[in-house]
Amino acid sequence: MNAAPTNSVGPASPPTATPPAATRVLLIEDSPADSLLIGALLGDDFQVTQTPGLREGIAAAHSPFDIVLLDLFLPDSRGLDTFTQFQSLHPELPIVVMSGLDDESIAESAVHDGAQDYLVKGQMDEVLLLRAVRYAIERKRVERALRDSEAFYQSLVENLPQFIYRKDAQSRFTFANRRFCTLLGKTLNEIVGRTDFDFFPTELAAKYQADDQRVMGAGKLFETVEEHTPPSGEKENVQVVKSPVFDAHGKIIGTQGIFWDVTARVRAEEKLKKAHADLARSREDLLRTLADLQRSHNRLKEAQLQIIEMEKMQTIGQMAAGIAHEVKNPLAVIRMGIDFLSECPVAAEEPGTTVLRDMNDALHRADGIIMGLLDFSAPGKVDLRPGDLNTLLRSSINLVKHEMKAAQVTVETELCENLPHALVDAIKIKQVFVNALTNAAHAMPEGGVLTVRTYIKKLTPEEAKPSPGARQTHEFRAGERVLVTEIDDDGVGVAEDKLGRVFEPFYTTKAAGKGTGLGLTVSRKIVELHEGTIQIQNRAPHGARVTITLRTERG
Amino acid sequence: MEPKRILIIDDEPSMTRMIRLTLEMTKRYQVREENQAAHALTTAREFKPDLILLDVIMPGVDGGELARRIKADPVFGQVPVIFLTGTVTKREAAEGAVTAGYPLLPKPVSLKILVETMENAFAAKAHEKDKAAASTKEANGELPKK
Repeated sequence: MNAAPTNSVGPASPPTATPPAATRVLLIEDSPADSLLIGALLGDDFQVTQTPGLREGIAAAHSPFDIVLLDLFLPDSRGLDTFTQFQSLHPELPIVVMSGLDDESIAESAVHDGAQDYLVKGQMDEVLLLRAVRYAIERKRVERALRDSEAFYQSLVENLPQFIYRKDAQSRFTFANRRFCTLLGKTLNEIVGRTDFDFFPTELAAKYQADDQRVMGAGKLFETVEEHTPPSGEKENVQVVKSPVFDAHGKIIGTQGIFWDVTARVRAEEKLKKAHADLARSREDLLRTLADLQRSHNRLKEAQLQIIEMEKMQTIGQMAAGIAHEVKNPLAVIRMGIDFLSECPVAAEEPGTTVLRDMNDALHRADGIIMGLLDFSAPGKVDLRPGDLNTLLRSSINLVKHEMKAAQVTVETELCENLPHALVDAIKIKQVFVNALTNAAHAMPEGGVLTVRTYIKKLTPEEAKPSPGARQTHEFRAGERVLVTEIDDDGVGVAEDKLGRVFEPFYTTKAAGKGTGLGLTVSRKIVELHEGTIQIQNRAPHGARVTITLRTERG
Repeated sequence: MEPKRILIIDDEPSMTRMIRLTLEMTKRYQVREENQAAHALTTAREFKPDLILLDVIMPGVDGGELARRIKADPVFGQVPVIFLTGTVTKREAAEGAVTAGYPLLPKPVSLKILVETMENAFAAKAHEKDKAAASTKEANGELPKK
């Protein structure tokens, strides 16, 4: 650092052409003649303080001086040691050493050790002396600035909490900061000249060198976060910035890297990510639980409705049985009365004939209602035997053929042949069919076409599920083969808001006297005893469809 | 032909009266009404019916129980009984509902059905009598005439 060219200019401050005030010179010289000569050569621009010995000189140097002219041969010190002593105590001062002609080599040694210049007594003139003094001051200033600058950068490099290194083009370390040395557990000397392969596992070292090549190849900065395992210690995450090092001509001569521990940050990020995921999962769990709760709630609600309905049914059933018994006796009296009158002369002529016929019709109607009530209240018992639905349907159609003809309803059948047998109570299921056929005819007061259809189908999982609100005491299985009977009419259909009520007891959409309001209630009860389902839907563009689904004989 | 003697036991007087009037109008039956189940057996012993029409449910006495007591009676144990009931449906009746081995007719019953059922019961009784007579003859050897 002490061999800078004499005319170089330091970066720290602009050069000064002339010292602003008189330059203060400490002259340590025991020879009065030489002192006089030097003082004279320096002239008025210099304020010279002279001391004859090293000890006095060292003491005097505590006052501010711009330069020291030091004779190497003094009474209390001789040779290079004179310079060494003084410099060690006042390293901040520029020193020009002086020697005799014989001792020039010692003076050169002093310059090598840090003196700014040397003068040979007897060879100095004004120009030489002044130039030596000015250059010495200037050189010391530049040197100090350089040292400051270096100290600044060094302190930066050494004190930054980052690991810093430099490598040459062959990926050999040329520098490592203290932190990096500590990390490797080596001294700088043990690091410089070596490569990553000397410190890291082969795989990792190869990767580092590949990164170096990449940086040098691209001539660009490279940044990454990588996992780093120090020779001793656990895995860490480091953020790495590598950049190329250029020489004065812009040629890439190596790489430098700076990296620092981001383990805490990465762990925090991972923790955060995990927390996020946990949160998302918790949210999903919560939503699922909520959905489960909703489903349970719905099922409970359905169950509750069923219980209410069942209780209603039971109450109605008991009531119906009571009413039926009470009403049947008076009806029996009227029945006998009508039969009695029919044998009397009054029956043979009008208006007696009409009156008796009307009474007879009214009695039939009343009896029908009571029958329905009894069917409804009768304890649920079915006698299930294998039976052919098509045969039962044909027989049911036959039972209502007069009614159909009177209502101008044409019955068409689309019965699937070779239908497997169903397990049915023939009499009861016929009652269901007759009821559905009669209802269909009633829905077509102007006449129309009634279509009866049978087929077999395999239930999809969707179809096997009980329809919302459906009252089901059992469930079909997905994939189960079931027998479907459809009875379609092209009549008026059922108002959408009333579809849900048609199975309720005593609910009827028919005109007064046309229906008991029990037909479908009883039908449903019968179908349920068969572990089947009955549904009513509207058809597009008009009309309604009754769908009865029953199990096959094999179930 | 002598009118058949029919005893009708039912707690409802209007019911028994209507059946009596209707059946008697046919001139083929002579009908006695009894509205008190408790008196039924006494009345039966006195009236000696050819057939009994019996309501199943009456206050105080179970129709089925009464039927068993009638059947167990040494004097008129062989008299056919027809049950009348308000608690059975026509369909159940059509399926041949019987109580204690007797036919069961649901109320309200038409005159036609009632008469048919009674006549069937008489015919069955007559057939049984013939059979019984035949077997008695068999048991006693060839035509033992008194």
